[in-house]
Amino acid sequence: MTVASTISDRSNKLLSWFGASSSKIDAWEIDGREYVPAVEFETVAITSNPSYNQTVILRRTEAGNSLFADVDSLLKELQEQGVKLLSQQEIRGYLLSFPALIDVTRRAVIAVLRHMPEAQLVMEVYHDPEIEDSYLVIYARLREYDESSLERIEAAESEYIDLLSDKEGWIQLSTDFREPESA
Amino acid sequence: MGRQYTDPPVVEAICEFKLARDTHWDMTVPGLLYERIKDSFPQKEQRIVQEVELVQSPSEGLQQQIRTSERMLLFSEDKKSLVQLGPRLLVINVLKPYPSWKKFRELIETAWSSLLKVVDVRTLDRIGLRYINEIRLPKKDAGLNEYFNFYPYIGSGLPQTMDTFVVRVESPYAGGRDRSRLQLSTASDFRETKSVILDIDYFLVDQSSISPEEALGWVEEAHSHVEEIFEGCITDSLREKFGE
Repeated sequence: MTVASTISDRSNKLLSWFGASSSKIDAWEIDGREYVPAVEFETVAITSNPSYNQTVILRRTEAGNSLFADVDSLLKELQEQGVKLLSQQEIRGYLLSFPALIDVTRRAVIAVLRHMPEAQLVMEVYHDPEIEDSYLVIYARLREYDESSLERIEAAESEYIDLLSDKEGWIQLSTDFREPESA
Repeated sequence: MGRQYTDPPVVEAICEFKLARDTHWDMTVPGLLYERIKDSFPQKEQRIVQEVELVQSPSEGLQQQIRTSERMLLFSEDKKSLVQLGPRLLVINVLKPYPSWKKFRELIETAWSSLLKVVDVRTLDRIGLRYINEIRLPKKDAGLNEYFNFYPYIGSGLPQTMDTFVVRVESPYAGGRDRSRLQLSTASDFRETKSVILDIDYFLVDQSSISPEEALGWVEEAHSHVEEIFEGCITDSLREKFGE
C-alpha cells in the first residue's frame, strides 16, 4: 500500500465519521499545525502526510464568508425541506440585508416542522402597507385547522423568537388558513 | 484594465485574509478595528457561527465537538458593503450593485491597513479574492454553449434537460503559489428563472510566500487573474447582455 493511499484511507474514514464531503471541510490540523484547505482536502492530506500516531483535527464552520452563498444554500435547503418560496429574489434580498437572520430562519423552519410536521410552509417577504416596513413571513398551511393549530404555531415561534431580540429584521410565523397546495 | 460593463452580473465580491496562529488575536480586536473604520462601516451586526470539530488522537480516539463563536459584521450605511471579523479572520464584501474594482479595492485597503495598525500580523494562512456572478440566461431554451466557454458537456446519449448541475475546476497559478477554483452551477431558483451562478475564487496556496506588507499587491494581481478567468468563461452573447 502506498503512502498516499494509506493517508487517503484515513482521510476517508475521518470524513465518513464527520458525515461531510471534502468540500465542506474548513480546516485540517495535524499535531497542532493547521492546514487551510484552500487546496482540495485529499491534496492537503497527502502533502501534510499524517501518520496514525498523530492527532488529526477536521473542522467545519457552518457559515461561509460569502453572504450570497450562505443565502443561496439556505434557500436550496428550504426547498429540499418542502418550503414553498414566493419570490425568491425578494427573500434573498431581505436576507442579504439582514444576514443575522440566515441562521434564525433555518432554526425557525426546523422548529415549525417539528411542531407541525404535516404543515406546508410558505415563505415570503411581507410589505406592511401602513408603515414602511417589511419582514419575512412563514405561513403554516394545514389540511384541517383546529384549536391546537395556533397553539402549535406559538410553541414553534417560542423556540426561535428570543434569537431575534438583538437583531435587525423580523421573521413572523403565522397561518393564512389556506389549504396546502399540491406539489 | 479589464472590460467595463454597465450591468455587471456580480452579486457579491469577497476579499478574505486569514491570519496564521502566530498572530496574537484577542476579543478587543474587533472593537479597535471598528473605531478605525466606523466612518465607512457604521452599522454593527453579529452572527453566531457554529463550528463542528472532529479530533482523532492516538490516546483519546475519536471525539466530536460543537462550538459556537461570534462573528462581527460591520455594514456601510447602505448595507451594500461590509467587513466581517472573526478570530484571525478579516473579510471585506461588496454586494450588488458592484461598485467597481477601484472602489472595492479602496475598501479592502482601508480595512486591511486598519487591521495592520491594531494587530501585529505575522503570517497569512490564506488570502482569497472571490467573485460570485448570478447570470440569468437571456433565452431559456438556448444551450449553455451559447453563453459560456465553461459548462458541463453532456454527450448525445444522455438526457439534455437538466434540473440542476455543478461543474468545478481548480487550476494552479503563479507557479503553484496560487490557485483558482472556478464553478458554474444552477441557482436556487433555476427552474423558474434559468439563473446560473458563476463563482470564481482565486486564493493563495503557498502560505509563507506573501508577507502582510505584500498582501495588497497580491490582491491586485489576483484581481487581474479573476478578470481573465471571467472573460475566458463567457461568450460575446453575455458581453452584449452585460452592456459592454
